[in-house]
Amino acid sequence: MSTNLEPSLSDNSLRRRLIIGSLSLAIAVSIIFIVVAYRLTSDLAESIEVKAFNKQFNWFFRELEALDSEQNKPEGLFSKVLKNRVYQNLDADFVSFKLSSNNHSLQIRDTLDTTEIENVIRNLGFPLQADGATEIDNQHVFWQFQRNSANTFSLLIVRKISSLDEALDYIANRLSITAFLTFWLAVWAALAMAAIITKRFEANNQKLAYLAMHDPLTGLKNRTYLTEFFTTQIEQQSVKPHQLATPHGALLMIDLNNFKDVIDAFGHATGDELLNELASRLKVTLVEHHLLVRYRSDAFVIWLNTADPQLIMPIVSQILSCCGREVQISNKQFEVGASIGIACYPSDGTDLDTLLKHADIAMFQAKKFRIGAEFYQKQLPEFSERQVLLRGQLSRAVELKQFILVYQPKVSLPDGKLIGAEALARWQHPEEGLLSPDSFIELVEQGGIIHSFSRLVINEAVRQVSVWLATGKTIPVSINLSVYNLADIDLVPFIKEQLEQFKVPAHLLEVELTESATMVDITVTKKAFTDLRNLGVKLSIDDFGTGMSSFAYLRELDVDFVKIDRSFVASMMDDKRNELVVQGLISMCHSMGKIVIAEGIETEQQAHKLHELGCGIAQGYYFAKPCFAEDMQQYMEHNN
Amino acid sequence: MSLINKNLCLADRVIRGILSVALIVFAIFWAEQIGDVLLQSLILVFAVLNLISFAIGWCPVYRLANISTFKR
Repeated sequence: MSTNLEPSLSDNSLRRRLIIGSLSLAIAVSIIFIVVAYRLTSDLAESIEVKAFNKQFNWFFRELEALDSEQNKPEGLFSKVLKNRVYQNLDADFVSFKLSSNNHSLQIRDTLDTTEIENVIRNLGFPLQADGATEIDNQHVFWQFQRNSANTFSLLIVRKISSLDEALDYIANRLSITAFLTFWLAVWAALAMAAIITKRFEANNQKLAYLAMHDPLTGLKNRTYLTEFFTTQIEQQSVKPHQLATPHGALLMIDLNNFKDVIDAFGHATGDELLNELASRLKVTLVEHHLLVRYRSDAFVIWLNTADPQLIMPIVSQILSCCGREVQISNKQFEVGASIGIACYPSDGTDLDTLLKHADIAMFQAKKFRIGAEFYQKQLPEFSERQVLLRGQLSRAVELKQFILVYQPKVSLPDGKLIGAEALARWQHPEEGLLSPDSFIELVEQGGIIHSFSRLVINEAVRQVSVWLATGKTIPVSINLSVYNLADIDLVPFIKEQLEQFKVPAHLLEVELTESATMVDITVTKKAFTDLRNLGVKLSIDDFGTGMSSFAYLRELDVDFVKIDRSFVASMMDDKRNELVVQGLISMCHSMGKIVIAEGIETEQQAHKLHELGCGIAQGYYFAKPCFAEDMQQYMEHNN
Repeated sequence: MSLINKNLCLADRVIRGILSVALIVFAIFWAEQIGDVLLQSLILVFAVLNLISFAIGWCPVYRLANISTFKR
């Protein structure tokens, strides 16, 4: 389904910032370089020019000293200088050349007013030597003054700094052009870099956005996307004032039926492959405007833009069909199937949480009654809502050990002598009180905590047998295990460890296999039973006759006991045909060397009849109801 | 469909055209002012590239940076 939920990631502001940043940096660097280069050149040129001027001045001064020493009077020096051609053709840069004595002054070059410089020299007190740089009439000049040691004459030369200015102009010109070209390159580089960085940023951002909104395993949209979608597309649209019609839709909660069995038996890698295959099938089933989301491990959610059951049901049938078809993974075939709960918008809820909750309840109903799909119905939610709540509390209950065991005696017929007990789990719910297995055992099997739950039961049962052993009562106790447990490779070592820990002989523990699921391979069950038998644990098939695979179990598994289901016993007295079935079952079991136990004996007549038919062990309310361990202790003493 | 999608608007092209001509004239007739053959060559390259952009209305740097001033 395409929506406008995909984040808009063309981050122009980032590109603009990168370009502006790069250009600013280029400009700043250019300015710094130009200033530094200009100042460096200026200092260098000035230094060179000052040195050259000093040399020239010294040469003139030594020449004048030599001429002066040849004359007796200063006037002679002046006349000699006036006649010398060197002084007549002075360099144009010498803007002032002034020779002075106490009485005379000879100005050979006077193109610049030097009063300011002379005042400086006067203020310095006519030193032997002085020099400096100043600006006169917008012209940079150097000056140097020197008086001879005999104090017969002094020389002041002022030279303009023309070559320095020319050099600086030239350098400034070159630097400006270079700066322009550098800036041009910087612009290009900034644009290119900004484009590359932005592209990478966008790619990473898109990757992150994809990961945030998609399930990494199946590639489907995830729960976050569903929440965003519902908030932006459904809830906001429905409150828009100009919206002519409220949007309608249906939320389908698809839960895979036997997915956890696959995980338990074959591991997560197989589970992942199975999910991928089913996700692909679901994608193919849906059209573009349907939204398919992986909601949790084995649950998918589909949003349909219609609440019309006549349009929804064909899609639901397709989904059930595609999930029901067998999936082949690594030469193994799996049939998981799905249960679908449907909640319509806005009739069953106007917010996502409510719709999800109601779809979950409907899904649970569909799973419970194995009807494939169910619409949410307001008049039937309470029980399912309670189941949903209980399912959420199960893991915590196992952690807090809220499950306890009660024991129902097994007696021999016809004397009613106690020969064993069946341990039955009860949930001591903090709010609901003592709950029977009918309320939670299916949730335990579906909720993925069957292994921890079973370990709790095994631990408690073995511990209780050891307590009774300590008081001198040797009584075998049977526990119920699901076929799911048998796929657990750590189960048998755990039972062995418990038996050793509590010093309980293995034959005092019986394992009853219930038939609540049939998909796990018989070979897996067979191996687990063989391991248990090797351990010395007794084995029995529970609820015999109700499941499709009962006879297969009887044929394939080497069990000690067969427990005939209470439904046969209950109807045995009223229906001759049922009596014949029970008779046949007992006969068959005997002929196969199995001990038969009848469940659900409620009347004396039933007990007599079963004894007549050859059943040697019975269990039911007629003899004793399930009771706590302390009551069981009393029962044992009374029975003896 | 043309091979090159224009990405320069008229104003952008005119500015580039004027700048190109000015730089070419400057580089050729004021070579002494520039005083360096390398700089002179770079100015000419810059000017010619801009002149090409002016002529075809497409700037490769704009393309790289995914920028366009051209209004369709």
